[in-house]
Amino acid sequence: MSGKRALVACIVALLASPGSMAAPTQMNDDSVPMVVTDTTKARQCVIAYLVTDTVTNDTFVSREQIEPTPDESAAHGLYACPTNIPARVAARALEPCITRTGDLRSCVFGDMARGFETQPDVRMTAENTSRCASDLANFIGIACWKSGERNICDVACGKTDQEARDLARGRCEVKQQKRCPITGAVEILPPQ
Amino acid sequence: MPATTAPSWRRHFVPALVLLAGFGVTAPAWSQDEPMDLPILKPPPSVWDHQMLNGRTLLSQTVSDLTAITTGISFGMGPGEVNAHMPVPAQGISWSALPAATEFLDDIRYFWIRFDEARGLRMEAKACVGADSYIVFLFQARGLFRMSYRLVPDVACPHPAVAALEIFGRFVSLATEVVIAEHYRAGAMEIIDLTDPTALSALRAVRWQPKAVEQ
Repeated sequence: MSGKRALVACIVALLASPGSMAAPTQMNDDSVPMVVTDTTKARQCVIAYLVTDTVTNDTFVSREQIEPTPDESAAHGLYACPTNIPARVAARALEPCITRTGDLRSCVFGDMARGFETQPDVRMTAENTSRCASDLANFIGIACWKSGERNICDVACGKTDQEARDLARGRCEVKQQKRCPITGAVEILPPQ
Repeated sequence: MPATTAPSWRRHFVPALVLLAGFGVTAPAWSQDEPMDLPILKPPPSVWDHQMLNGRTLLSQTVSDLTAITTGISFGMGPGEVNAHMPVPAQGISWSALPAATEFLDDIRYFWIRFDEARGLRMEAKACVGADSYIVFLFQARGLFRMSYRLVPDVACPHPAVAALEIFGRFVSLATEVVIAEHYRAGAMEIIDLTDPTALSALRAVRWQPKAVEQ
């Protein structure tokens, strides 16, 4: 039995070893690992916005990819996103909606203030809470309630599709004081 | 008979409900709302320099990306060429034989096909549309400049909005340098216009309204 136990322990140790599935790493004389180049390209920062056409309820994801500075390095395969996003990036985020709608005034950010249904205007929406950054979340979610024919929505960021929807629903229900059963979510990073 | 005595849970629960109702703490009217999925449309991403001064479309798309969706139809084709791409080409389609589209000030002509006979041009829409839905092809002298989906509701399909979103979603993924896809409503109809981005802005701006809505 003790021999079997030792064998099992050995297999478990091998499987748990981080290098067990990787190619052998060359060691120099001082036992310091050689530099191993990661061949998978790191993903640039993407800021994703949700914007809505208040007439048709069409909801668009506007993905704004930001090139890193030449001296920047990626962590865990992702470049960090800037903390301050200029207003021109937010303005551009509305463009996919504006160029595809019958009335450009109907395009607003997805995170809406309470009372939006009585004043459906972009000034009743917030760009900074309508966006998620790829270095902090994987999905951007939206949850809405229906006021007549119009969706009234709020936005949240999450690690998974379900978490983004749940957080958006929580935010919408607290902010709007309504049940928000209409939900959607999408990946922040576009497919490669 | 012990039936005259209410069970202990009811003795407490019913007065509690009455009390809550008296304070306005009743079940909200929206509690029966069903969960619904909201599809999110995915236009091509933009890319910015690291200072975020200049943004541009990330993807480079060409007319072939459009024709891959439209069963080979592209802007600039003459009426005869477009007709040749129809599932069942009509007889006698030529510029001079086409009726005028009177919503335009310019000399614009058109022909149309029924949506349910459009095969590949139905964009694999799974949701319903009304039986009278159709697709219009609009031409200026130099060729096709707009395709317009007009989805009509009827008793069997009172809400063609879901199908409109399915069709619109296919074209939203294309850059506006290739096609300008617009979705709007005209009365109860759902309209999706696909317009040549090189067409004159005066033509691009025209939106169709059914006669009853124009009043």
